Amino acid sequence: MKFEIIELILVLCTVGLYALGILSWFTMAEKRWVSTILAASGMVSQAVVIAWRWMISGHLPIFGMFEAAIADSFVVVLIGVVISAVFVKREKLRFALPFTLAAAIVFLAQGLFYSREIFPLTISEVSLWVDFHAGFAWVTMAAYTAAAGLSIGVIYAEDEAQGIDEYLFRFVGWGFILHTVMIALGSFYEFLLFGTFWKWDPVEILALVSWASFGLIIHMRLFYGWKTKRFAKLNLVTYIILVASYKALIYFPAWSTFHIFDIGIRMH
Amino acid sequence: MIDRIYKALSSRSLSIFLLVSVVVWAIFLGAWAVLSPPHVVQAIAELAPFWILGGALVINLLFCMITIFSLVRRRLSTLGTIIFHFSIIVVLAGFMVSKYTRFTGNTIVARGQIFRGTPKEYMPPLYGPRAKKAPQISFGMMKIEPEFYQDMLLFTSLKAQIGYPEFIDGKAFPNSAWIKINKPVFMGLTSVRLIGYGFAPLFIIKDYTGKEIDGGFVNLRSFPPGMEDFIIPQFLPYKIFVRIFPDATVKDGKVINRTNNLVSPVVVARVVRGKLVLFDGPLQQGESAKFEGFELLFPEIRGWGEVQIIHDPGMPVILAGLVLLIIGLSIKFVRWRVS
Repeated sequence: MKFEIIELILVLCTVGLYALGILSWFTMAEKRWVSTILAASGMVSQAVVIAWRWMISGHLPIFGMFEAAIADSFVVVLIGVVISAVFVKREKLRFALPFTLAAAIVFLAQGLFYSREIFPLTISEVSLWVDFHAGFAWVTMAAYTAAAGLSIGVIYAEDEAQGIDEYLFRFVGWGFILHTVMIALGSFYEFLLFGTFWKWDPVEILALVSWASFGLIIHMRLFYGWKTKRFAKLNLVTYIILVASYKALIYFPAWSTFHIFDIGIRMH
Repeated sequence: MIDRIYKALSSRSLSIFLLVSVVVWAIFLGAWAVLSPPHVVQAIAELAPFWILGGALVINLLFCMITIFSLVRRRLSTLGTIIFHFSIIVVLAGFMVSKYTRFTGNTIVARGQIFRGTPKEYMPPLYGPRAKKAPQISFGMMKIEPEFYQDMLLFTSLKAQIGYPEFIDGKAFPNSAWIKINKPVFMGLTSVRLIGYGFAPLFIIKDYTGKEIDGGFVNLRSFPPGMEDFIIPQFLPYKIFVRIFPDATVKDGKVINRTNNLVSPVVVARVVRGKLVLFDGPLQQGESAKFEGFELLFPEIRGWGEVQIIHDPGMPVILAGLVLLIIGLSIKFVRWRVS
């Protein structure tokens, strides 16, 4: 069987396992570990796709929407599984898992709309700095997704809200550090590539929107004490802005940004 | 009165207002980027609202830092807050320095050619307020090595070896470095990177006695293969249009190009005088075109590299700001504990 077909089957298996993970989380409240196991199984299937593709292409899955989707959704689910496994007794904290699974399904579904053809990296992308930049983008997305999942936990928690809220802010804080590092690395690499740190490319403008939005909610919390449910709702809105700014770049015209890497889209 | 101004400028509500303004302004720019070409977006981005917003942010940050420093308990997380906000000012200052001192120029240098950094060696236009004052650098192009993906116009590698400077203490090109599109070599605050590739054919024109009357390497815009550029000989009334196929054969008068690698080049030349076409056809290595008693040859084809030279005194300032940004944030949040 050809690689393309096996890859598609594995990705669909992954999506199926993640969907079952969400279903079991809600229907088997006494056996939440089933959901964790299903998510971990999906990750194994996804890891095979990533590793196989990496072997063939010779580069990290960073080139094009499909590769970005399989990479960032993997890291997003990883953090959900870790939280679920570590905080076994904190029920509402474990709400991060179904949310990360749902986010991963959305990311993978979007990725499947784009070409899965394997290309070598163009010379402008062959650099360890790009790998670091992409890596930080994945973990940033993972931290913020976990925080969004915890936000739902906070909104629905009655007695535990205060405790979860502390973790929620911790994840937002970590996400903000990683987000800053990701932007700084991207900016530094832009200097290596174009000789300028910032040139108002849509990817930079959208990164500024999401970064300033998270900066804003952190300030609202620190200045005005917006905590628990209020902060959780604000964080969910900001997370939607983040996902839109990250995943909607592909809908910009290809001529408007250097950050669309799908060869087919660029050629047309 | 002064107290009221101080309170207003260092107020939290001003900080929040400015942050909301940044978000709204960036969303507006993002929407604009869908409709307009990048250079228009860049121009709009740096209009008055950017400077007003940036200036207001810097003032607010400075006053907030004074307040934090004087009022809040001296803790490590406070130090992180101060470093983080100070680094934003450093980054913005770096962008200002860059904007008003930066030089950008592109030049084409073929293998074996020396670039001495004079303004006339650059291709117009030169960018930046100091555009007329080019940085004092020189280098020689030693090698250019492109690699392509299969037979496609997709570079898998493009690098050039340069020697620099031309002379120092009587030694020619004491240093050498490989440059790529994303791996510049730094000569002080000046960065030199390779951003393009093309062909430089050696053309020779002989008269009917076989004496060379004109010739030399010409850096042509003839890449990708099939793209046409032209040569105008110095003292002859001809225009020579040239297309270069780097790895080609000629079959039944037609040129078949296999790859983009410079292996066995074929030059398709068209010599015209006014509207009169005197020669039009492919020339393989060793072949020549004859017209009106003259002979045209292309005995060698070299690669050239388009090199971008940027002198940016704002670079170390921005870099320092970015490092401080991460250090400040890390101190702030890593020290933070779950209660």
